[in-house]
Amino acid sequence: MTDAVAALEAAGVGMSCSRRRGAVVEDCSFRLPQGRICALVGPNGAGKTTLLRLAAGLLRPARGTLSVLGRTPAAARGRVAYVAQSKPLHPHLSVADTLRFGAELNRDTGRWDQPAAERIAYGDETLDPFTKIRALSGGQRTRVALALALGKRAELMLLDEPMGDLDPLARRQLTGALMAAAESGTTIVMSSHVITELESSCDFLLLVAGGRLRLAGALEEVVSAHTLLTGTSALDTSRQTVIEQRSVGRGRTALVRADGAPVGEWLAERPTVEEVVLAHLRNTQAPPLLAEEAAPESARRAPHARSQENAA
Amino acid sequence: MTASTERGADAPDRIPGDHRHLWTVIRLHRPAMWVWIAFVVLTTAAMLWLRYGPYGTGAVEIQEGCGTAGVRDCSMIPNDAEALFQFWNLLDQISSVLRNIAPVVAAWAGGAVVARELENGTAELAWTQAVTPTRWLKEKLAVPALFLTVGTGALVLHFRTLLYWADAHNLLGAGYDIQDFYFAFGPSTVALVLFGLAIGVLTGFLARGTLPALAVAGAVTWISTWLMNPWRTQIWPTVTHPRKGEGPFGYAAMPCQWKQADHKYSVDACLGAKPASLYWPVQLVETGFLLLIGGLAVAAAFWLLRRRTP
Repeated sequence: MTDAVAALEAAGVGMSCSRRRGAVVEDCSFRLPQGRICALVGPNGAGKTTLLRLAAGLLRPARGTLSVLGRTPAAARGRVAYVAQSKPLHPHLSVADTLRFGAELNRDTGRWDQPAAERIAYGDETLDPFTKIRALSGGQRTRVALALALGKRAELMLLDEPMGDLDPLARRQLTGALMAAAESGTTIVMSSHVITELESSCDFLLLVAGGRLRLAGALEEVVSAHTLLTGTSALDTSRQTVIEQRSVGRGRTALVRADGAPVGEWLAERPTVEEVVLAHLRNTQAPPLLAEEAAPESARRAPHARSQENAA
Repeated sequence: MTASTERGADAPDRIPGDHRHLWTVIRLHRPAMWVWIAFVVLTTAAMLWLRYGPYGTGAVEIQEGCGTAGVRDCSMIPNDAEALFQFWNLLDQISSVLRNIAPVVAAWAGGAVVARELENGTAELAWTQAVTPTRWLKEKLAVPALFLTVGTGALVLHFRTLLYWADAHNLLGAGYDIQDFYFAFGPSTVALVLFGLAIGVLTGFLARGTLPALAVAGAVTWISTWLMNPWRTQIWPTVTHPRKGEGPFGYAAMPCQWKQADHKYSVDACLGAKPASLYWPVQLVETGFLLLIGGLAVAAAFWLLRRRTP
């Protein structure tokens, strides 16, 4: 072990939902260090939800191994919170009963934080504790679901499209709560199909498309590995990996991955996060990029050492 | 640890210790609990009405003093004994409710508890809130099982008092088609209800959705109870002497079919009348058999759960 245990570490994880259809997640290997706020981005049906459910211990991977906080997903259950996209809650319970339900289920871990859960659920006192869940709006429901996750005081929070149906004010308030959790060391993984939704709050990026991992690494590192070129001459593809190029007016722009300076008359710029993500979503043939920090520990270690650890 | 003590201080909990998990299960499945309680109350009310209502009192009047000197024999039922016929009919109905409906209600409860939670995702909510899937399923089984055992136990005990009362007033006869009530007044009825719960829970995992789970669980349990009836009335020997005490499980066996040749009633034709000495063998064999199948269904449910979650 070089440093602290990873929040999430996947080695060749694969998953298929049924035998007839192809794999939903295929050959995923990455490492998410602790304390990061990670954006899990990809188009609809890319495998984001499956990846989160695997990490939450709700699905058993068909291939490969996944470790959560240095444990198996099943053993890490007490330390991981998960909010599903549909925000499942018992419709006939009141908000107060739902929070009590959370407290009961987490009684054995002794970590439940009732004030924090109440702060998120009731927010600015607009929500009556005795309202039934079925009477809540989509956004209010999301707040209660997130309150359960935050009340658990997990070390790793897995949030599937958490902000989808929140109004801007509630979104800001909840982002603030999540940031506060992150400051106390909680690792957060948030999925979305819109990167701009997460760009400002995240410092780590996992991009999946078609069930495969396309980009993984610290946001800064991933962005700076790419250059946006604008010019008129032809691109020398032997010197750099071209992710995407297209014509703009008389010239052309290209997003490339390269170390050296480009050949010819090119204006090199730093791309935005959105440009990098969109280019990788459009060109699924581009080789995946695993930034140094995101490379799984297991990949660097001797195979027999890993199998011993798994056996233990 | 400090967090939990803090919470204990500023959030007063009225329910202490392990009963709190009971609270979560009961709170979540309160509708199912009320349905079961209503079933127990209604069946109890039906038994009380049968005993103290017009048919019970009417039947007692008809059989008043029978078998004594100067009065007809208890097995010679007058043709206009409408109250007694109705009493027999309703007694059969009640035993049928115990044997055939109670397990179906239990199967619905089991199917609804599991299938609904799987369908709307709240099962996964529990599994990601520090409750392992195995413990979740144990709680989903244990709490309904407790309610079903207590409820069915109360019904069976009440049914026994009804049968004893009927026997004391010479209202019991042997030799009806199914004779459900000779099987419905022992522990095997409780086992049958638990069997229904197990079938329901297994169906909850297999069927995708609450509605199919309810339909399949109810149908499977109903069919199993009906399949068991003819099988069970045939494997046990029948009583041959119509004397009191040797009749079905200690009750009087009355001659029940007119034998044309001898111009008298014959007890040999009374299929289903079982000797008293067979009560415990019958009950224990049935209970063991039902609990075994129910146990297999529960094991299958746990296996399915273990297969889908790590």
